[in-house]
Amino acid sequence: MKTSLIDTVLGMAVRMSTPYLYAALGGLISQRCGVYNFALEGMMLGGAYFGYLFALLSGNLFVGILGAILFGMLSGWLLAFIAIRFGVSQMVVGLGMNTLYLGITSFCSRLMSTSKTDSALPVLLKNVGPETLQKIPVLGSLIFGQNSMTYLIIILFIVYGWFIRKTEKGLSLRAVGENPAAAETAGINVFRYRYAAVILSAVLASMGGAFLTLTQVNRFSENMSNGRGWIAIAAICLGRMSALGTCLSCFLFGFASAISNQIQVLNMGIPYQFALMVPYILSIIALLSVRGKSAGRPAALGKPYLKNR
Amino acid sequence: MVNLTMVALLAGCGGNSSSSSTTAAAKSAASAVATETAAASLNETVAAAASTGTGKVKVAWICEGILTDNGWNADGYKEMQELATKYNLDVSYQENVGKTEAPDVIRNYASEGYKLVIDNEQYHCEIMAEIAPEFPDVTFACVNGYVSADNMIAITGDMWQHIYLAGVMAGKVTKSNKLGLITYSTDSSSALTMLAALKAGAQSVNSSADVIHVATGSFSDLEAGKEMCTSLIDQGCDVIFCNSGDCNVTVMQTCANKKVYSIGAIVDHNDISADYVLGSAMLPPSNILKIMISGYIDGTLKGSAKPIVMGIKEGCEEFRVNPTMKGKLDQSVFDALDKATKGVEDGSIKVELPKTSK
Amino acid sequence: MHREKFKSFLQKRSFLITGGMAILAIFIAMVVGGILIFMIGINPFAAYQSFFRGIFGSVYGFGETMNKFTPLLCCALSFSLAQKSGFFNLGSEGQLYMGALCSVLMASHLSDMPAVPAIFFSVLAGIFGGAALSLVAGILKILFDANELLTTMMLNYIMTYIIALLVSGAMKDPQSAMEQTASVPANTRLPSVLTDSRLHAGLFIALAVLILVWFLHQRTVRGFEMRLSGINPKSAHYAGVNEKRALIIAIIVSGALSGLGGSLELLGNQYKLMDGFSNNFGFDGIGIAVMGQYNPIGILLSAFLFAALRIGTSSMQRSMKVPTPLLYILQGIIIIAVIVSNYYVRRIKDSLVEGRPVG
Repeated sequence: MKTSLIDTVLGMAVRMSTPYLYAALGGLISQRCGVYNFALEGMMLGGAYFGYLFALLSGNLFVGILGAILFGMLSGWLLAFIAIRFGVSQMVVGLGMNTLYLGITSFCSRLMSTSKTDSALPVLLKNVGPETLQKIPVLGSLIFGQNSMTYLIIILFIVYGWFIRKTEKGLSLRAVGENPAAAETAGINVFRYRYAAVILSAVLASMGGAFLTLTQVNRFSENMSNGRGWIAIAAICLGRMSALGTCLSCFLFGFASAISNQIQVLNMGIPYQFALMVPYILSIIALLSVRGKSAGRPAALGKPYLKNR
Repeated sequence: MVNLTMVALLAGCGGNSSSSSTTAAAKSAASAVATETAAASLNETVAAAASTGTGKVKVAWICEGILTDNGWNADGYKEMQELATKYNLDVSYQENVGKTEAPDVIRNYASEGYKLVIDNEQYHCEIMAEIAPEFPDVTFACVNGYVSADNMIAITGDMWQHIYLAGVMAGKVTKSNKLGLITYSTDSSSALTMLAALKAGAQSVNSSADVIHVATGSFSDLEAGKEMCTSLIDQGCDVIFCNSGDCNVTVMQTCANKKVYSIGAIVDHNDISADYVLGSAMLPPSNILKIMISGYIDGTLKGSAKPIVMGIKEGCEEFRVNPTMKGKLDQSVFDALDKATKGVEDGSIKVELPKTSK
Repeated sequence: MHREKFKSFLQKRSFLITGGMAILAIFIAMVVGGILIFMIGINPFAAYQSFFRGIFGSVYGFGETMNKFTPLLCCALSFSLAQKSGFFNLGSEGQLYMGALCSVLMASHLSDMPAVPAIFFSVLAGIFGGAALSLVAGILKILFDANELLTTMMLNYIMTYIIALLVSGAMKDPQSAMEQTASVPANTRLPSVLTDSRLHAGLFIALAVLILVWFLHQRTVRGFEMRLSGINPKSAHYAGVNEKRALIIAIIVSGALSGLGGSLELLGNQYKLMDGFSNNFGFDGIGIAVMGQYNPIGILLSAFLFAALRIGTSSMQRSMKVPTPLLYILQGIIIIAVIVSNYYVRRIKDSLVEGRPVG
């Protein structure tokens, strides 16, 4: 079935946005409760590797996702513990963790068999979506032919948007991020919310990594996340910390990457460096074009909350 | 200053008589010194081995990028481990040595008693050639290096023969007349050489064939490689050649999934798909390392200011057709390949390569 | 009364506590790393011996460490200064590249000039380059309220690609097949200051700048204005400070510092510009600034730690064949351990002040 150019570019855009979406939602949730998660990159890498490892060993892709979730829970707990218990700079902890997880995943990866055919996953998570609906021209395969993990993260974004504004727990989470002391006196357990949010954040980032190895390519390569975690942080920034803004920003980056490929493939004589620059230039343009009040950074973002013991 | 084009032309067109006479000339020029130095180097080697106490020769091996790239570095690393066992060497490896760190790393090894310092990255040869004179009793070596020094061994594949043949096969097989070439960057001299060779090969059998040349900017971002490959296929390419580190394998698998032909790079990747891999354009570092180490150990290979160029005929490069293709493709494809191979080996085929210095 | 004397001694020299705890943290991290090294069959004591030997064991090694220290220090200062004025300058990496680029352009034209002015102008060009790039982000912030976190980060990536384009095209060295510029002429290079090593004068320039910047920032009116605007622009404005001007000055100086780092690295160490010129100097500089808690001594020590980690781990890989991933793990653990030690430092300081027992 021959697909149109728009179809293929948009489809590629959605595929390439998905890792950003996972990591960005994770970063968003964490920041909402007042803790910077700068370890998104490392967590994504960890999820990519451990998701792949569990899937390879068990032969089951869902066990792979479980593996990624497990890594997310552990690394999220670690970040939460250090940030909350010790109240030290979350940025440096995040940076340290990125290096640490790069080392751990590379190390474990090298312990395994080195044959490229032995170490490939036999099958990948397929795209889901009703076949008939996919045949609708232009938007059919775009909307209905995506991967299940892509649908999942979009649903999660919607759920988060509703949760953070319309539910009591959501408002409590925001209060924790704005003014933890006041929240505490209002009876909200600040620590518990922060732990939960940071762990969830790490789980999401790890799943974003698992998306790469379980649905897109069937292998792991050292440092294969290649800066996606940082793009996710940029997307949160560009989206001014709102769920919709962040989601759209992630799509912008994915779209820009697809456009970048297209520019190269059209062989127009443009140096490839310009093509690779496209996502970054587009994001600055987007930032300048969308003005207005931001959802606002939580007032206590980054500030450690140390309860007197 | 050795001009890359000249070197390539020497190897390809003047015929091997010319290139072997270059090496022969270099050897004979140094031969007066060679006999003493051969003996001296062997004694040195033994002495060095004795001084380390383990009886092993201390060899250093450097690469740019990671060891586990399923391609250039992985092949070199594997070979070094085998050679270490075979010749009883004490090898120290250092990976991730970029062009900015290379001077320090090379100097460090040279000053720490390593008698043979090998660099697996061709672009380090200029750096190595500058440093070599500072350590006259150390032997330096660069895989695929295109400049050399008196105490340095640079052996280079000629960089285009095997890719030319890949182009011939691709040009014969393509129906859309669009070939895809994926490299790390599009303006490095090796990338431009690959483009010229692929195009020339394809157009020699199919005048309407064209090559779309794109860059990934990464050796390990597998998803980017896969998406770039997908873009090429959507654009109409039906044969794709990727040489960008670990992305090679992923690109080839993506091609197989989408029922498009691909050609392997550097090492033999023909096992990736029985139906969709045409062949592999091979220039494995292992070939060069074997020659270097055995030549160094028995003293027959000395440093020389002129790099040694080896192509298909010398066994350094190869275009290995996928055996499974024999029954699947028209015989005319293999005939064209045989003809081209002969032309390349006897020097009647010349390719206009991009002009780069040295 | 020894206890009281000791306590008041420590109180006055709080950096001793910070430093001491950091060293303890590094030690503990190394023990953990040592266990991992042991588990893969390498002698950890020999490995760490190699680590320290790489940094301190030879004049050459020490020179290399200090050469890495110089650009790291400049980038850390850059981030720290901007942060104190309320500007999150993540663009150190790009500004460093811009500084190096401008320096190489200037230096290539000054081959006939005597050394001192040639070096001076080349470094100056680098400073201006870094400042200009930073100013771009600053202008976008002031005119469009564009969040500098994003603009500076994006400018980093853009700068990397611009450099890649230039060094393989317009500025490529015609004498080499590598994608790099020609080396700068000999008279523009920073002289070596330590025999048997490649330590260059950039170190002293950077240290001098550190003192100068500290002085200007802490002891002059302008500096005070910058700090005040950083804490609260509105109240600074109310107090009569032109907070926009203070911000602009901070942005310019911050960019200039990163540009200086790039310039010194180019003119003193690498002599030519290529893709991969900076090995995450700007990025690490941010971590250094935060770890050093934005004060000069802290930044100095953290910058030295980061530089030492680079050289030491490289030495470990070379002589003891410790695999790279394990080195990354070690580095990660060290960084996390040192930053966690800040917590215990705070506890100790608190207990010294209020007389509560440490427990």
